[in-house]
Order: sequence, then C-alpha cells, then structure tokens
Amino acid sequence: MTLAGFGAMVRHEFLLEFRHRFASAALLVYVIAVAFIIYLSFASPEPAVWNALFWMVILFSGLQSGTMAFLREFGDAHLFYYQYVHPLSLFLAKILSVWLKLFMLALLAWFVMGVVLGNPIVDVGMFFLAVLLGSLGFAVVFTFLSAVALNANNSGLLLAVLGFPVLLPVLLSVMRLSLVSMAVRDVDATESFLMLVAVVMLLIGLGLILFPYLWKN
Amino acid sequence: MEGFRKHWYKWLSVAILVYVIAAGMLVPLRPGLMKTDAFNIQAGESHELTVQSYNTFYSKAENHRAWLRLHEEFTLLASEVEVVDDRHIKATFDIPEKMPTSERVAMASLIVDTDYDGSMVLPAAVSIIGQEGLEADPGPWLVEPIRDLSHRWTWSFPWRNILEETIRNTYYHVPMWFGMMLIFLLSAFYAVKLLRTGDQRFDSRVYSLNLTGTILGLLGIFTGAIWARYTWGSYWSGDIKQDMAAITLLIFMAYFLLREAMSPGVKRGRVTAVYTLFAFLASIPLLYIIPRMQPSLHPGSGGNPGFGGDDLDNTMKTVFYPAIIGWTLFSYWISNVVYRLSELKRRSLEKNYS
Repeated sequence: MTLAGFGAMVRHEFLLEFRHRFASAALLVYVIAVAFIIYLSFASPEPAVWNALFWMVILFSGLQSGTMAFLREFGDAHLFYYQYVHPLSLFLAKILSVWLKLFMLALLAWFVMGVVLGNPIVDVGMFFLAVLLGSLGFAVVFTFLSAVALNANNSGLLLAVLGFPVLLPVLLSVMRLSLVSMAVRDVDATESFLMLVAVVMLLIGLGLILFPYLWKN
Repeated sequence: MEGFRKHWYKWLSVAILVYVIAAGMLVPLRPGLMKTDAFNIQAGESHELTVQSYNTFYSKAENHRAWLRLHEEFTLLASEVEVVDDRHIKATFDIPEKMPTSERVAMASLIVDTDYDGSMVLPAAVSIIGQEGLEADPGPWLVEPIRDLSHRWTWSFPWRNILEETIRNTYYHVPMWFGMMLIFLLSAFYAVKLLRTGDQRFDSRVYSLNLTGTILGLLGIFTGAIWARYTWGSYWSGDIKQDMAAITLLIFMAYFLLREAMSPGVKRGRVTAVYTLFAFLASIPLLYIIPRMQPSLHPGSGGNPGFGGDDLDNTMKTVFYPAIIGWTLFSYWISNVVYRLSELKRRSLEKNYS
C-alpha cells in the first residue's frame, strides 16, 4: 500500500461524493426531518432520552452512508480497483469518507436537536470527542460489513442485520461516554473513554487484517 | 475395537452426559432450613419458632439444638427444641430483655444442629426488636457459643435458599454456555484456516460449528430463562449478561442469513469466514468486558464474573467439570455429523457443475 495510492483513492472518493451529492443532501434532509419529528413527538425529552434518540439518528445515517460506501459502485468497478490499488488504500479511503460524512451529519444533528429540543450537554469537549470516535466506529463497522454484504443479494437489508448486533459494543460505550458528558451518569469518564477507544481500535484492527481477504475475490 | 478407537470421544461424551444427567438429577440436596413462622420477635419474651426445613430427618436424630445468632459473635441457645415431624421443629427461645448492642432492631440468623442431618443455617431468619430505653448488655448472649457442630458426609449438593432444587441447573445451563464458547473458538480457528489455505472443506467446518454453537447458545438462553423465572422472578430480568448473550446469538444468526443470501462457492466460503472472524472477535467486548462494568444478577458480578467459591463446592465440581467436557464433546460430535452432511452437499454440487 502506498501513500500515493491512498491519496488517489481519497480523491476518487471525494469526486464520487461530489458526483452523488444529491444522496448526501438527502442524508442532510433526513437528519433535519428526523430531528423535527423527534421535536414534535417529544416536547422536551430528558437528557438520557435525548442521548438515545441522537444516537439512533446517527445509527440510521451510518447505515445509509455505509450502504452507499460500496453498493453505489456501478457494475464491476471493483474489478478495476482490484487491479490498480492496494485493498487497504481502498478500505481506508472508504472509511475516511464515511467517517467525515457521518461526523458532519452528527454535528448537524447535534445542532438541529440542540436548537429545537435544547442542548443537554454539559461537557462540550467530551461530547465532541464521543461524536468523533463514535462516528469512526460506525464508519468502520458499516464500511466493512458493506463490503461483506456487497457479495449477497438484497444487501441493503442484510447490512442492517449484520451491522446492528456487531455495532452494539460501539453504541453502548459511546452512549455511556455521552451520558457522562451530560452529567447524567456518574461513572469514571476516563474509563468510559478508554473503553470506547479500545472498542474502536479493535474494530479498525480487525478491519485492516480481514479486508484484504474479503477483497481477494 | 477399531470402531471404538475411532469413536472413543462419542462414547466418552455419551457416558459423561449419562453420568451428568443421572447424578445431576438424582443426587439429593443437603438438608436445609426453609423458613420460620415469625418475622419479628420481641426482646424479653419467650418465643416458640416453628421451623420448616427441607430434606431433614429430625425423627432419626437424638440430639437437636438451635441457636439464634447476631453479628457473628452473639448467640442464644434455644431452651427447648421439640420435633413435630421430619420436616418441622419447634424451637423455644427466651430472648433476654436487653439487646447485645445499642441497636434496637437486629436481624438474627437461625442455626439448627442435629446429630443426623448436621448443621444448617437460615440467614436473616427473624428480626429481634429491643425495648426502648434499655442499655445494651451482651452478657446473656455470650453464655452459649455455637460449638460441637455435627457433620455427616453424604453425597449431596449444597442447600441454598432461593436457589433450592434449581441449583442442579448449574450442570446444564453453565456448561452449555462454556461449550458454546469453545465451539465458537474452534469455528474461528477453522475460519482462519480457510482464509489461509482456501480449502473449501473448512467452510463446511465453520458452518457446522457455528450451527451447533448457536443451538447450544439457544439452549443456554432457554435454560437460563427458566432458571431466572424461578430465582429472579421473571424469564427476562434485564440482566446485562442475558442481554449480551442474546445479542451474541443475533450476530451468529446473521451469519446464517449471509450464507443463505449468497450462492455456494469459493467466494461464499471466504466472505462468510471473514464475517465469522469479525463477528467472533467483535463479540468479545460484549461477552467479557461490558458485563464486568455493570451490575448483574449473575453470581460473581460487580467486577469479577468469576464462578466458584461458595457457588461451587467440591461435590458439585464432581458433576460440573465432567459436564463441561461432556457437553463440549457431544456438541463436537453433532457438529461432525452436520459437517459431513454439508460436505456431501458441497461435493455433489461440485460434481454436477464440473
């Protein structure tokens, strides 16, 4: 894997993103619409409920972005990649693009939910960190499993089935950390943070080791 | 003889499981105290407690004694113990007017000792209510310490309040779960082999092991739910380990969906092996880390999910450890049958298409 190959794949990802900008715009609208639905159904939710709803929004945006990571590649595009780039360049570039997209969606969701429902976050820095790491974890799981589901029929539904249980360690630890940032739960912040970092690192490591096998078709 | 050598582990697993089921179901529980007829008794009064017990033979014993015990050190011997029948005794306690410490209400445990059944304890049996305005006087509570307890060894499982007869589930629920973990470990091992060698037989291995592992996991969850119904009050008690176990099973069920969604071949073998490894390793935090960080109803929770100590005495170990080996070997055998079936299917497909 070379840096140039990785750079080229990142550029390609962003071009692809630009070409499919309506799909991303649809995600933006989706986040705003869901935030509004939550606002209309829960007048002023408790911080714990706010937290759960927030991460549910991110979960489904992540599912959608993950689906797009590989599934939007037309026809036999992967044959082309297979010949020209190292699988890890491809994998890392996909993760990076999904992560950035998810992170921005999360910030948008935070902003919109903060405006209409009120902002329960006390420790902004910690919540920011939770969002950053959480969206990385989501991006890794969904990108990886999107490459798995790519091989099967009806892969959209399959991605959800494969992804949700595997995602649970990330979801639980990120929700824990963000509850700490809302001063709702009185647990050790460092421990929750390290737990989240450990889970995300584990998933990244697994992805890096296993992806080349997945791609060697 | 040839067949025996080849199939020794099948015979062994069946022999062990027959032993585990027979011993686990037939060995009686040790005698124990179930309950008394009173909750509160007043200090300064004489009180007759009717004690209901389990698996005891009071009429076969000659010498019956009973104590009330407060805070480990203060004890009071019953002035009279009368045998009603094999399962009931009446113990009369003359409670002193003054409590042994300055607290007004104290929980006392009841200890009964007979020369036939040995000694039995009922923790927090009654609460003793002291009179107001009296000073503490530990004197009368130190006259008769607990001593010369009888012991009679029988092959029996320990009596635990609340658990009672359900303690036998230790030989089914827990070893099934251990067996599932070993089976999944083996399946991850074969998934690595498949990825390294590309040999399609390993795909059938991974499939068969995942199938038996999932079935063991389901049995573990069902036996656990039934156990939870009798000891914790409901089938699903919101216990963190129950939740995590269910999620682990969901992860492995997704494996079968993925496998069904793809057409058979080299590609399916590789993709499902990659998913198996990813899911197996990603489920480690679910099973080993997150449950340690939260309170749980399971024994040994609150930091250390260890199992043993008071929950598993030496008699239980003679059934429990063979049970782990038995369930694991038996599942391995079943997975071999599934493996051969799946290999036959794969080979006949290969033949038809080549």
